[in-house]
Amino acid sequence: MMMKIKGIGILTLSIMLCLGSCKDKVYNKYLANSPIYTSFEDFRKSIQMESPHELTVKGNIYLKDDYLFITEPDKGVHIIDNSNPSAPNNIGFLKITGNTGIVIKGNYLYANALIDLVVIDISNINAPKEVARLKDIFPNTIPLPTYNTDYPIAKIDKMLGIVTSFEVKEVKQDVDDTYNNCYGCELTTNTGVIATADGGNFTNNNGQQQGVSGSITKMTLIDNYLYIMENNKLIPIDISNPFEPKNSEGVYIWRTVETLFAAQNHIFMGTTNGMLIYETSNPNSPTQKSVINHVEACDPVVVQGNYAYVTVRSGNTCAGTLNQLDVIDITDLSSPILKESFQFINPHGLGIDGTNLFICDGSAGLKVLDATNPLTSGNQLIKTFDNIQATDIIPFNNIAIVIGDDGIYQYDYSDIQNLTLLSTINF
Amino acid sequence: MNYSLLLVSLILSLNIFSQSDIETSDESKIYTSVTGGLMPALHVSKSLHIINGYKINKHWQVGIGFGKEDVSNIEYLPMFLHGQYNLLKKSTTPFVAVLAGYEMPLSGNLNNKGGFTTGLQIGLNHFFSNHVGITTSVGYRYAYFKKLLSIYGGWELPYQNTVQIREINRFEFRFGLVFK
Repeated sequence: MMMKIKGIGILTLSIMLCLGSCKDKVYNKYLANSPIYTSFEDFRKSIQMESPHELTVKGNIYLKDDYLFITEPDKGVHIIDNSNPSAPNNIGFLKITGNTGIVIKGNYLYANALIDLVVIDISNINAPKEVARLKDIFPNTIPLPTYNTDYPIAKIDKMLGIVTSFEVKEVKQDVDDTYNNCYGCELTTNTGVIATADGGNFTNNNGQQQGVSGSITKMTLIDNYLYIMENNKLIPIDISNPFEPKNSEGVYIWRTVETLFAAQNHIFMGTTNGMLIYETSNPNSPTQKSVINHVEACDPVVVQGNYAYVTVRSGNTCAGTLNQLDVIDITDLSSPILKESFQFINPHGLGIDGTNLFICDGSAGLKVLDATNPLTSGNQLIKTFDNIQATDIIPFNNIAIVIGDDGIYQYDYSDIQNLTLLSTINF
Repeated sequence: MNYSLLLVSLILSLNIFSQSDIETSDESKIYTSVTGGLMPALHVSKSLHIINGYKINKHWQVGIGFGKEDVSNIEYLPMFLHGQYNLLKKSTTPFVAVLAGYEMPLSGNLNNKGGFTTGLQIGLNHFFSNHVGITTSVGYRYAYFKKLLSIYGGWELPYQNTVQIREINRFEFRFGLVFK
């Protein structure tokens, strides 16, 4: 009998010990895109030059000297020898996991690599070499590899590494039982906080020093500073020493910034509801100088002389109903004035070279305008090229590099009335 | 309606008790226990169990139980098998009991699927007479509740394959009456 009593005592003690850990466990189980991680170590070893890849999707383009750089979103950069625009030669693929855009200054290519910024020496274009890296300067960047849209994205634990792909499987998501938990909040990490620093800069005032990009970009250069938009934060990076870039804290921009353009030591930001001008007298801490508002829409911007040209577009992810070209007088950067607006069909990217203003007008084709007088430029149509369905363009030295839906086209526009197709690089 | 169901069940149980009382005057093989319990956690769950059972011998007894419990503001009808081992052959005896069964949801919507429950208790029975006694116990309860989520927190979910699981691991205190 004593043995039985002892047994009961032991059982009681066991239950009492269990008391401390007795609590409800609540979790959701669902099929979701479960992240597959690559360790930080492997991720940071991933930059390497590979043999040429075929272009598969539309990316941003960047022109530097005789080379054309085309980003393959999240994967890297195609390097094209464009010394002969009639016969571009794909010489290799620079693998940069998580990359969406680049800028080049001198012999150094600056690229976002998901959460890092990397500096790559391209003095030998056939053997690029990483020379510096700023780690974790884009901590909120979340990659968006291809995933099954029929299912949500499971919670991403940034401590486990870099998400390089997803697989659909059942996942468990703990639910905090202390309040009415917001189901789905843990599933929506793929929305709203994706940084897409893409493209390069259109400035070319340093001749061979820096490259040229399209108008749709979130990276720009002013002297020795690289500016990158990450979500709602503009991050200045001192690149005076490419081997030791230094980032500043950055400034928050309380608008949705889509494009950056540098001119006259100022940053022109195309946002969804207006254009902001930031001055950079203190390059580590740009401050807003002025703003000019418009209704909700997408709006790339380029600047030449005393005028900024802004295409305002609606449709798809762009809200609003406007489709127009705005010409803004920026003679006084503190007080920009909207001078004229011209109606277009669905204007996307734009570019300007001398007096030639190129507007990628969606399905309406590529339109070339005479911008000799900026205030009438929208009405001075030189020619419409209906067959060119473009979203962005780099016009430079009589060669227009055009991003279409199915490839990159290069046109000779030395005879502006008669654009001549030189070559096509298909996606 | 749920309370009506319980009331009818209780009456039926007492009927069994009455019949058993008639059939066996001294040592009835049939017993009924009615216990109330608490299972503390963030929200304390209340529990009512009614067990109709059969005494196999002086030590072992088995029964079928049901009742009503609330877990996190959802009411359930537990239906379970109950086994008990009495350590002593006296009117006052410690015991060890186990239960296992299904918790049927009584509230919530059709997406609430209820779930499995099991538990282990140790306690003490004390009979004042041949027919009536009190019982008290402490123990551990586990339950696995399943709910299909289509709306959560007032929002319609964009995806329809989500199941919410609540696993309870709780300390359980019970007190009640035993009739035989």
